[in-house]
Amino acid sequence: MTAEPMLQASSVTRRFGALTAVDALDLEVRAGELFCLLGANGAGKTTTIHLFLCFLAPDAGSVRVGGVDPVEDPQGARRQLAYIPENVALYPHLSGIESVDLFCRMGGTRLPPARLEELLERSGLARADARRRVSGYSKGMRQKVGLAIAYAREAKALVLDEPLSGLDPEAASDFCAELGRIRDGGAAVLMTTHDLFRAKELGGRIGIMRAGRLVEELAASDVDARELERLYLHHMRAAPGDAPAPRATS
Amino acid sequence: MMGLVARLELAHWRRNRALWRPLLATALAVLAAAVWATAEDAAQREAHREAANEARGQWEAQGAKHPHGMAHFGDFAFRPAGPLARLDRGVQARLGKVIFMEGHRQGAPMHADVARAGTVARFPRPDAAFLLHTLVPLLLVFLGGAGLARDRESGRLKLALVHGARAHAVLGGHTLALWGLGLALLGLGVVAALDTNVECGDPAHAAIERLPAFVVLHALFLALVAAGVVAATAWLPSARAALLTLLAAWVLGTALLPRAAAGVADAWFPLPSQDDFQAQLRASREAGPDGHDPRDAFIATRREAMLREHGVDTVEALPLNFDGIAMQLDEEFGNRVWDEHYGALSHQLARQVRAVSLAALVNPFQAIDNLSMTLAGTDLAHDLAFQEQAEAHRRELIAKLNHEHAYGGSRTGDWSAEASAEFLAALGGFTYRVPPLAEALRGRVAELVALTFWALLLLALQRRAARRLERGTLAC
Repeated sequence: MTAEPMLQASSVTRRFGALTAVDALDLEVRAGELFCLLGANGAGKTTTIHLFLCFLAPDAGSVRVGGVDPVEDPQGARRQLAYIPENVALYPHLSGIESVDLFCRMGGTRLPPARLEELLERSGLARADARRRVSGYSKGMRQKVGLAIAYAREAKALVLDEPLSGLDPEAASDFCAELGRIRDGGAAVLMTTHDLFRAKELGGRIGIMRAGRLVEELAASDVDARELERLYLHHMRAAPGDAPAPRATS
Repeated sequence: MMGLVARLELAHWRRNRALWRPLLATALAVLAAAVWATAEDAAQREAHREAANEARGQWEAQGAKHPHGMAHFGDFAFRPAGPLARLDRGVQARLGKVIFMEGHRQGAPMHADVARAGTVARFPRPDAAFLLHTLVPLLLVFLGGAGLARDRESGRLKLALVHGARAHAVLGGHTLALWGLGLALLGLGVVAALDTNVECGDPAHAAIERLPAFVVLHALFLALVAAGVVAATAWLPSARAALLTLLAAWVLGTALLPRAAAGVADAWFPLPSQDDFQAQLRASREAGPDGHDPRDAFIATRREAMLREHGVDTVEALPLNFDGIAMQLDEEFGNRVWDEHYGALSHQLARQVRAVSLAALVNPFQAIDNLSMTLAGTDLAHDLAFQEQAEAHRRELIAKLNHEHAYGGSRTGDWSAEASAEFLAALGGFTYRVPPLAEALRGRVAELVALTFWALLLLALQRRAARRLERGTLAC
């Protein structure tokens, strides 16, 4: 990999009172790369995401989004980002098209209706559904609207916070396929998930977080699904300061 | 962008039927209060016109009559309510609207509405201004307290901010929606109270000058409430915390602080009881000359001086009627007594009003309440102005009658001489002149400063909240 890192955390620590949510985290996601962040609840994944989204400032270390420090220039950093949360919260009385239009206009751009339809179609939402009110949408459909919003921004980095939880297998598979296409389009993708199988399937790099630290970082191609699960469970069950998990040789 | 957020909020209210009931109830309450007050005002204006015409007719029907007899016959000063009193009755319901003007004494206002009210009616009937100062802010608290919090708790705010929305525009949009609703209710009240049939008298003319100020200051107050609601929702961590804080502020601002301010003002600058005041007034008055008593020492001294001046031995030989002079001496002494006692009372009342005005610096609800009454011409200052004008008219009337008594051609002791019907008819009736707006607002500087200060403070708080939301130092 020679591309410049789009998302970069250098020795980042973030505390909430006595709790250290992120502890000396070093993380880089380059353009055209997909990085899956695994970890139990409370491991610090969402805090990491919030640091990149400028919703939290680090207590120590630095965060960069496309070379921009979000603490100094939150707008500059956010201009390069798109974000899909676990639940894409939309205004229930708007249709899919109106929702994408709304978020575009909030960001200061206006797209013609044909372009909005095209974006929703690209994200996998049927044309008829795009005109329905989102109050009747399933979670998977709302995630597709989230993807369309991300497409509309033409963002260089996409940050996703557990977008797969609650999706049925088909919706999750479609969603992951779309993420793969976004990565192939040259965007940096950082996703937190509990789904080891999808993390392995998506390829790219995988990081395992525990108690705010990135305790394991590996290429998806280096492990099979079973080995990834073994590694994950080892780290989740290990006491702090334990030796790294030995890799099994295939 | 701000308009976009405001439209989203308005669309949410439109689609959420649970919100319709409080919205419609508030709108109907404002409308009913304004319509009722307008109807009542029309009836009262008609009653005043009839009473004033009747009083004038009775005065003129006396024909030729002894001037001092007419001084005792007296006349009435009516205070017409200006058209804006339909929006804010102020303290008018507790104060009289009619003063009987006669010789020898300063009249007190009578026929207050509360005197006609049932004994179970503790509070006067709510008017549109009361609803705009209390119920409408409460509605904005309930609607606004949920608006931004709903976006925050659903994650929409986060999604919007990441995708380029500016936090100040989001907060501004929510404020704009709340303000728009407040303005619609204000407009409803004002339009309902408008009467194209107002007579072209002075109060109606003054209302034309004051209505824009009334609307602008209420719009500023509603903007302040909307900004405060959104600022509190942005700063406080949850919708529940924001709602509780805002409700506490509402109770403080609308009920507790105004009562505390009035209580403190009364304790610091106490007024004498009615009995004490009248007893002191009587004692002071009795220490002076009595124009009806020829043996009165003060009158006797003046009589001797006048006899010397004219070189005659008896009052009957004077080329004038000394009884008229004695009556005017009596009157002038009485005027000094009224000035002293009523002046002290007015001074004490003014100090109470100033104390309550200062309390408005910490309470914008009090500030708008005071300003609203002033603009509607229904506050204490306008009542005192009415009393002063009526008293000035009374003194002029009695002085003219005494002058006619003294120099109208009769001689001392002649109580049968009559002033001509033409002379008496030429003595004009009383007309209330509404104080100019600038003069009325001069006593409300603290309230104007308070509204401006609170508007700027809340705007600053909102901008700071927006900066912190964008930088992630405030939870979104």
